[in-house]
Amino acid sequence: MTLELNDIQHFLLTRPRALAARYGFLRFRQPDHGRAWLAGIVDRVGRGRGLDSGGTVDSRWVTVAFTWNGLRVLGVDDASLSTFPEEFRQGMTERAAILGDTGANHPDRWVGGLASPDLHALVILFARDVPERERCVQEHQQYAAQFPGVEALSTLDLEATPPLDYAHDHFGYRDRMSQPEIEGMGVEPTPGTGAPLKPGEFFLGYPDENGDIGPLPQPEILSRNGSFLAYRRMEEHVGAFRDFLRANAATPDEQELIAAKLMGRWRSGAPLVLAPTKDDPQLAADPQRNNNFDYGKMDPHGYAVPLGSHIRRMNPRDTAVNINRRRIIRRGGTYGPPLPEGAAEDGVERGIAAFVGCASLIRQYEFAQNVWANDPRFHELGNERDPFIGTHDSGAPFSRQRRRDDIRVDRLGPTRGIANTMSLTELLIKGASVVAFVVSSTLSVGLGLTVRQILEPLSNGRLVVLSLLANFVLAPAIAIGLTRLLGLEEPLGIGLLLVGLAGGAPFLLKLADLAKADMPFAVGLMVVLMVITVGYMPIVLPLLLQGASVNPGSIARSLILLMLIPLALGLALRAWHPPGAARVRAFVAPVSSVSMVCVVVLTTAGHFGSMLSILGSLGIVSAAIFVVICCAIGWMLGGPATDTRGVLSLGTAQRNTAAALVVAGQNFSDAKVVVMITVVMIVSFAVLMPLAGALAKRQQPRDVGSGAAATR
Amino acid sequence: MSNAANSNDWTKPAAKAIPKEGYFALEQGRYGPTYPRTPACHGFTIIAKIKPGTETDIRAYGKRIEDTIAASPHALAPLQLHYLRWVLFDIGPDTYFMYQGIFDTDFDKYTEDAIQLFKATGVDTVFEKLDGFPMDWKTNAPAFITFVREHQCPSFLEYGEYPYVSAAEIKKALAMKDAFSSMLDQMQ
Repeated sequence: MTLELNDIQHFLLTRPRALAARYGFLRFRQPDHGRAWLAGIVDRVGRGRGLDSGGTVDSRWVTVAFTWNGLRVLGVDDASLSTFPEEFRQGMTERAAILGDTGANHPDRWVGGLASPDLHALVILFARDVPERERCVQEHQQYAAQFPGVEALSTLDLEATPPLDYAHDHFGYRDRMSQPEIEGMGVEPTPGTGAPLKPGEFFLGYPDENGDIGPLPQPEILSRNGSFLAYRRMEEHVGAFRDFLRANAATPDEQELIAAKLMGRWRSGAPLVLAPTKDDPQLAADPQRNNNFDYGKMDPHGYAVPLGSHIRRMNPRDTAVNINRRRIIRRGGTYGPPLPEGAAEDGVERGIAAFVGCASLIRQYEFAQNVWANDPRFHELGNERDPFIGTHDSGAPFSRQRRRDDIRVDRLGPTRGIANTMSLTELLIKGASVVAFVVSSTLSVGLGLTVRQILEPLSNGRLVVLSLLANFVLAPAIAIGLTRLLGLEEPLGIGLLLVGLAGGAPFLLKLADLAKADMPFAVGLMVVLMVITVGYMPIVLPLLLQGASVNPGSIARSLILLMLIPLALGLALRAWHPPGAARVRAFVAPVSSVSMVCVVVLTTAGHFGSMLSILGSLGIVSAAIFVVICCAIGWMLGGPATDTRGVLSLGTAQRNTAAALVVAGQNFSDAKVVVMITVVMIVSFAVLMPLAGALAKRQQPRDVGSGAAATR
Repeated sequence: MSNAANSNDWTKPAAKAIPKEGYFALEQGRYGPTYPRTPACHGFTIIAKIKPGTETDIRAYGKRIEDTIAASPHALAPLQLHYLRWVLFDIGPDTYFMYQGIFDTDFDKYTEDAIQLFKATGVDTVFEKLDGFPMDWKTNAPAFITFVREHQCPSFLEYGEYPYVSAAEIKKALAMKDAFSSMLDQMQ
């Protein structure tokens, strides 16, 4: 059965060389405008015609696709609409849980209007280069301007990531290594690719690998020669990925090996089956060799390509049944600016945005995502997921079969689902409020104090040693103990531990003042704890969280930058020009209070789901127990004077949540870590403010007594 | 290798009571709710009324499948089965067919693979003798799977003497035992 190339869009048939693309996501506010827009653009759509004669590619590369809602709005009748497969009728938002799009990848967080029922159509343009794309975009905009009832919900521009000599993603992996060929297209598959597949696997109305022609949605003219497409947009956290490699490998060669093990190919594209110990760029670039391998005979135990690596999951080759009924055709590219090697994570969104084409979403695309990417027991593995596109809400391990050592991949490029998620402005505000909170509170401490004020109260050596014991040994020990005792989820345990390790909160001064406790001691204690925290966390955290990818260098760097430097600047200004320091402080102090409230509000609002789940767990209980035990320890060790007892009690219980937030934000992608820290912050307020009040009352009999004396 | 999901100790027999709907928490799979893995692995119990007068045909399938497996013992390997039990029984004037399978893949993947196998081996499925079965099953997998799901009767108790162990793991252990015995023999 020959392919009706004149009626098939070129999109899945061939891949013209394109360095730029634009995806447009459309809504038809007025059905007649939608129909008119479509009638005019049909002529621009690239078809397979021309591919058979001489192999030149149709220069019009526009592709058009519709959602089920789009077909409905355009006027397809209900009887016809009901003949489409259920997974297409439901749409991807309804299928999110099946695809693993939960937590950070939940449809609520998809951007660009892609989770909206108002998404009706996609217009996809691939172009030779950026100027050609811009020309086509202009042309389309002029054309579309005639139809105000056709609205662009969003657009996404894609550009190839340099170097441009071969296609690769932002992580540096060579792409487009393995792609099924379609029977009847006359393309000879490269060795290892397998025989060309029957067109019915990708186009409706043709025999599939079973020799059957599947049911055609009605009317046939709409579905015949068409395909189903799934759209995925995956953000790549390049800085985090590089940190992950560095944290798990001692040398650059080892980093490359780990990158290769996660993928199943070296970043050059050379397959690990054929190049198990050393990269081989020549092999990578040779299409006659770079796909020519199997797993069953050449690597049955996963010693070269780990059983759970990306390419082994997405195309198990000879080790899966019915493999030819599960194949998909991928089209897509990279978006966002490249992150130069060595540059720190810049918070700019970048990633891959790709289409998956097939004849049955449920049998091909959803199967790959649901069973191959997210089946924790794939190939008898325990609790693993695809390291790149799997769901990592709670962090799944990844194992290399040879060494039997687990490396955690909970931070690798979480997919942002069919499209992304938390809006950039929200991220910016949140990031900014944490920074403002940390910097302003330490700066205002410095501005208000002299070095002598800090050092003098610390002459009592025994008290200082006991304070350090309480803050840096006992507090983290309690955090770890509670985590184990209550069986807290891992991210909550990490949050509690971060808080446990971070001492010296500026808020202690407010609490000590409220409690009418020994203020000079509070000042000295707070500054010493804060300074030690900066040096202590980067050293101790990696020891306590073995296997987790924490980066001591970046923790130290950000704590020094955000805490020590503002503190030192504040102290210096105070020493050099006290009235100036006072003026600056009058401005900085309110910033500290406001930004602290912002952190609490934004964390609560931004992670409401996680917050609720913590309400249901033991998170709040453990936070409360933690704060109370810390109070008790401080009280016991802070004697003999009641004044100093009160300070150490408050000073041990009031943890430096600012420092904990900085470390959490940089090293743990699971929002629950940040949420747990915020929970401890809120619980601390709830427990320590009344406690400070109570401590102040203990002092009151003295005041009342003197008052009475005066009256007398 | 980390084995969090397999951390259940095979030496400790386990039983699990299952709610009426067949799952503990509703988790959507591709074709409907996902059924959990129990100490007795994955599995299903399909019970459906047969078309009158087809009992002899259905019983004949028993012999046919025996012969198929004798000729190619690994014909059903893709299904990752432990055991199959096919039963016919009467309720009043009607006869019912029960298809009970214990396997290691999930429910939907088992059914998809089974449809594929029935087609590949050219066996008309025994299901065609069942009341209400979609006769276009060869080109309409979703309809087949819907039928299976509609006739599935979830267990309310499942027990495993060696819980959560897959057929692949059992076969590996037995192969090891054979290899070890033969090693001891060779050393005599």
